[in-house]
Amino acid sequence: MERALNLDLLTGALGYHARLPSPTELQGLLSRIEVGLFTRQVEFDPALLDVGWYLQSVAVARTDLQIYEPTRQRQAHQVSGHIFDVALRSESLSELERLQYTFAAQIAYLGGGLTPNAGALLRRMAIDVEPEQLGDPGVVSLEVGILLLALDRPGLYPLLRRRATQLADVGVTFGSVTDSPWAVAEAVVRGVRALLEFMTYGRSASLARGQQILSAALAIDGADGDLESRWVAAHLLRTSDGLAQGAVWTALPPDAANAARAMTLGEPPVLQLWPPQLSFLAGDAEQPSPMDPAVRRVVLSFPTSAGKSLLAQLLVTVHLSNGQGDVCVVAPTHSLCRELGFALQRRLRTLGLQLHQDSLLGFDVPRPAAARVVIMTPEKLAGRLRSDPAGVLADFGMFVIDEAHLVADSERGWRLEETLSLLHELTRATHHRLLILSAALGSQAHVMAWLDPGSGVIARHEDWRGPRRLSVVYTTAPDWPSAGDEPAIGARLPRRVVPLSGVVHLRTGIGNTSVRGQFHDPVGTLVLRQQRAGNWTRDAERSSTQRRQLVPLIEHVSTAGSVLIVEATKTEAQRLAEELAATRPEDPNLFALTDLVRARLGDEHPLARIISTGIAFHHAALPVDIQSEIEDAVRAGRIRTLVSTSTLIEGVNLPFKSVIVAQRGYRDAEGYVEVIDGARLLNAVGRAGRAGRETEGWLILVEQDAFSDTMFEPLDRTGRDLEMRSTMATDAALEQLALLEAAARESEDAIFQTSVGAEADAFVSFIWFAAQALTELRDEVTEETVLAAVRSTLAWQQLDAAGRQRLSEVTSRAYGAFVLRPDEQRRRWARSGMSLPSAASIETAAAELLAAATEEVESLTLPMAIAWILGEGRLQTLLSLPENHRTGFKPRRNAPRTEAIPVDVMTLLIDWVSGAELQTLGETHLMAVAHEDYRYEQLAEFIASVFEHSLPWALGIIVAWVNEALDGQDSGFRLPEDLSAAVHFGVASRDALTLMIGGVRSRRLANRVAAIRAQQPADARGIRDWLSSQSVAAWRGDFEASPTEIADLLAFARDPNVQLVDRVLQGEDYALPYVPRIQLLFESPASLRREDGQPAPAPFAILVGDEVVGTVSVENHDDIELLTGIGIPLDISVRPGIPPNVVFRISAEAPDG
Amino acid sequence: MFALSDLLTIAVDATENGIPYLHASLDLDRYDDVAQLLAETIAVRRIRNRRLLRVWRDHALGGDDNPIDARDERVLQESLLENVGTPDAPASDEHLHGFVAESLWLEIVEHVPMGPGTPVRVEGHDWSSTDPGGDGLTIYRQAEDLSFRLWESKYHGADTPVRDSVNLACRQINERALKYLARFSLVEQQITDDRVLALFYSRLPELWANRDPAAGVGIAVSAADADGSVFDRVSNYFELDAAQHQGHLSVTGDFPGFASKVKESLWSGCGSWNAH
Repeated sequence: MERALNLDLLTGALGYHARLPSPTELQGLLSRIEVGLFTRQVEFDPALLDVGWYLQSVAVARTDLQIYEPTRQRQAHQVSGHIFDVALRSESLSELERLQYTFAAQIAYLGGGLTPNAGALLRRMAIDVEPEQLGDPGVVSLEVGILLLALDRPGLYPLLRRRATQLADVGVTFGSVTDSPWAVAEAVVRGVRALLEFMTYGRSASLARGQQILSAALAIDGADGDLESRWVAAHLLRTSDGLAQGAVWTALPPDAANAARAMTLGEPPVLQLWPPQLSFLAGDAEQPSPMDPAVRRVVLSFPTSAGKSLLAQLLVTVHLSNGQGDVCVVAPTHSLCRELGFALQRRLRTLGLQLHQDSLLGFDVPRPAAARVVIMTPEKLAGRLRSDPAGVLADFGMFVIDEAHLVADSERGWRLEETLSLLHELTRATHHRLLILSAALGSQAHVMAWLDPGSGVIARHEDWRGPRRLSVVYTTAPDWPSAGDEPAIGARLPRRVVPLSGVVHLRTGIGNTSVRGQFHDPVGTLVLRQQRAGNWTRDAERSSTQRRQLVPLIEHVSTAGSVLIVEATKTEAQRLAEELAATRPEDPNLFALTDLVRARLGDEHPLARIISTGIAFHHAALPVDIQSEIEDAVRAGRIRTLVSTSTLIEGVNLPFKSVIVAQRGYRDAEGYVEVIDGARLLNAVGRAGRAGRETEGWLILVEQDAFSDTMFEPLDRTGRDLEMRSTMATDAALEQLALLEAAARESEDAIFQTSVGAEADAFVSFIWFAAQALTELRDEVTEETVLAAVRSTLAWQQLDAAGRQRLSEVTSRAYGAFVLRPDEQRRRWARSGMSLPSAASIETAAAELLAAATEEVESLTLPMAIAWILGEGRLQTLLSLPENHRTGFKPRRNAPRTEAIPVDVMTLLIDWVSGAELQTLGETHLMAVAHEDYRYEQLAEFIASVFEHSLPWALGIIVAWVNEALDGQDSGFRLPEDLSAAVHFGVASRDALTLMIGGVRSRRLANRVAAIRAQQPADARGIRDWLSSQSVAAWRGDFEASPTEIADLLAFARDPNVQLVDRVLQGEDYALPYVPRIQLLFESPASLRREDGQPAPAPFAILVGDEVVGTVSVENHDDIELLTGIGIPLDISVRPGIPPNVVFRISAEAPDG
Repeated sequence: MFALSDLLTIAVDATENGIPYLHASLDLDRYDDVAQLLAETIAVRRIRNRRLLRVWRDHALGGDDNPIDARDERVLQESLLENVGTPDAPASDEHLHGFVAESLWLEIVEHVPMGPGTPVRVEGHDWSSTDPGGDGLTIYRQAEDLSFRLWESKYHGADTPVRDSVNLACRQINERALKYLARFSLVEQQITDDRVLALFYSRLPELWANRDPAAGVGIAVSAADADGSVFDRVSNYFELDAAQHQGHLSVTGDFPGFASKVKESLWSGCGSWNAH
């Protein structure tokens, strides 16, 4: 729901006053400001500020005086926050006013329960945290107050330290600082320091001391001259109780101190929880806290930006703190796994715990002993559960399923549903916990019934979000009065040229009220041609395309911040990006990224042609590492305009100020195809205005028709309105099951011989899977036991009696077939995760391979081993399985499927595994596709679907089955198990594979590093140790590594045995060897600085005084970056030795300064 | 010792267009005394360190020939001479004149009863030297009723009618009133233990927003002389009853000269800067 301009909210907060605008007038003023901000025609009415200050006085009035209702005070906070926030957009503010309004807005946002906005405001201003001069006392107070309310510890500690030193000098000069004009400001500095200590370390004595200092500051005799500081002190004193209530340390029980430490000292630091998180964690009379160990099922349906991920991190760390077993986190894509893993890893490291990524199909990456959290895709969890259900249940005590609405996905949904359902069934009576997360989890009742183990489900649905959202519909309208006519010239008929106006309609609140604004200049031209009959028709050649009409809007919006434009198709995304880039100058900061894209995709690839302008497109047909480079560039602010398909909005967590939904679907021969459906739109909406980064997000729907208020209706939907429908509860699935059941009546073998469709295949596979898992875990399994697993599905909950009957009948047939098969075959087929007909095909191929296998295979290179295993037609067998969705290539986009071009897939595969770049692969194998864009689009999609997914999966199964047989024969050799990983990553050597498995995203980099190492003299060290002996500069030079690639290498090279962050935060000294430049004789205090003249991520130089004495070794770079990023004061020293050490400890400064 | 108001000729019963105002005038032969006394009150307000105040007094009265040491000099500069400056770097006339006019108003309003009486609280001086906020707030108690006046002080030095400066002050009060009151309100309601006073403080913005009878405005203007109407248009700006307004007109003859004498008196207490 819209909040910012809601008339009820404004009325509740403001009321009616002689000197102030009415609520309706206020709504009008705010709406006009918002439209003005949008169209850059702002006229700030001073009456708004009057309202802001008045509302703040209402909001902060002492509650014991009972002047205003608490609800009104909260509303007053929210509205005044909005007013001060928009006031900050004025360009005519003095620096002092900017500080005052920022502080006032922060207070308002915190008081109004919009916590993340207080931090977001800081991102719009720069506070010098190491100022040379003390300056005005009011400014001193405001700056530390703002940083505290933004919870910016890395900025606040240095500023507090600098101010404390300067104020101590004042004390010396004046005899006592209390005799100086800085008396109150000095107390504010000390009070802020104490409050920060409380937030960081949870020491209640620091809170009390901070409050005492601030209270005393208000009463300092003769302090009238610094009422600015008194105002700050009064606000901080008043807000301190709220800060304390929302502090992580307060919200978590005392026995979860480790979790609190991980949150407050992990990266990014979380000192304060948001209102929905707090109330959920607290629990109430109706449902207990999710932290209660007795709670075994938790469903969180929070919109994007409501703090769902953070809450999950918190519950994971609490779970780990309680010693309830390890945690399995499931996310739908590799990139999301990586992102979640990265975020969680930086938190877990404060506790000395590790995280493990294990998402490869067909290959299990060995898990380090210290890894307490494992991240994987749904397919991988399914595979592991199928292979070893008892092992999975023994390994993990908690399963976190992110983006659970994937259950409704037509292609991948059932895999997640069957896994979750079986997991649920197997853990109904055990200690295992399931945490289900989604931004778009629909019908709660079905989900609750689905996941209820009998003891209830803790569920929470929230519509709360920090940044306010402004919803805009953008249309164009002909400006008829400005039309000009071109007379007929000879045979050429007259034309009428009509400028098109770009019109924004801003929604002003719940209901269908909007305010209209218009761009000053035309956004396009409509040209009409007069027909001989006298009527006028559109001249398509001379009229602006719809794409062209979007360009001014996007140009405009991008000046306010980063913008994501969502298109329905790859082609449109690409074309729009090209159109936008046409008028933009090149940015020298993007030349390195441009070179990288050119090297990977070729000079003529559309992305290579435009990315230097700061505009990019992003879709599934781009290689994964290029997608990652683009995502990193967006995060770093180098790319500010991104055009994407729906893949991005479902994937990684990228921040944008604005989201423009340019198209929600497209038309093909069969009619309109909706691509951005309800759930995707909800996800897109969530991307506009990220919590903690923006206080406001713009969501713009582009419409081609004349404006109507109903155009806002799609935005009214929340996760609650969306039904998460099981893919097995559809008419199509039920029809397939009916067909299968009929076939099975004729012949029992039909169950594993007949494929009637993907859904029926998947359901039978599930029965096989459930029956096998239950057989392994339970003493007695019957058809009824298996049916219980079917009853544990969402489909069962959502089907009527007839549908359930259908599931029961097919279950009976499939179980009947299961019990008739030999044990070994049951187990293998169940583990495969494939349809039974596919499993049978693979079994045949495996048998052929077993017969041909010799020990020589162990000495083959990866490409040769793959060629041998998939030779003799086995590659074709695997490509023909229904689990593989792509088998060939078309010469043109609009060619029929039957018109395939001949491509030798085996050669293509070997080239891929040998490390050939996309451009080379295209030029070698797909020159028959004339259109270059389409050539690489097909190639990228083929690689993503076949080489990165279905082929490694099937190859892994074959290799595992053959090896089982070889082991059984005591043959003394095995097929290499990492072949499927080599296919997935497209790398030629085991060094390259180790790099990719270890988190390096660029196969170019992995192959290059491995190739260079192969040219070196033989070295017994592993690839990590070899890399660790080098420097970042050497990597950059030898490997031509981009900043993103360097960051990946630094993470890879990290010494996993280092416990720097954990130990230092526990108060210990921790020493790390470093690379010396000069020899030291004595232990000396030192400092760290990024090396001069090095691009990011620049290595750390170690200084004694101003002299560089050495550099941090690459294997410790990540840990030191994490520790220093926490922002707590550290004492650093260097200690002589061979090698010398750099020693870290928490600063011994007095706690409250 | 005289109160400064004792050295002025003051009438409190004047009105213009129903607006009550105070008329203070300064005799030329008392310039030095008034300037010295005003400097003294400024020093008392601004120098918090008692020892240093004694040092300043001793030098201002000519009783100490010892030079002031460098540290005390820096402290005096930072605490006393804001808007005044030093002989080497004097503040602009605009700053000095505004500061002296405001200090004069503060002394008069604290000691001379008018309208709702003698204020029980005078919040003077600006909130921050860099913030052009309101100039002052006076609070009155009549029986059980509390009321306030929000003040703006101006020095009028232009050739235009004094009324122009008054009207400018009115506009500025209107622009800044709620900001001033909201911030003051928050601080004061947290300090006081008196529930009635706390209620009053916390409702200051509400009273202003509702044009409550307890809310009022005051305009103070200092000028060399004043011909014609000064406060006659004040009520146009606030839509309050006439009695909710208050004016102060200080006629000082040579105001720049007077301000200069105040400045020199302040400097004289600073020892080495003695300009005499």
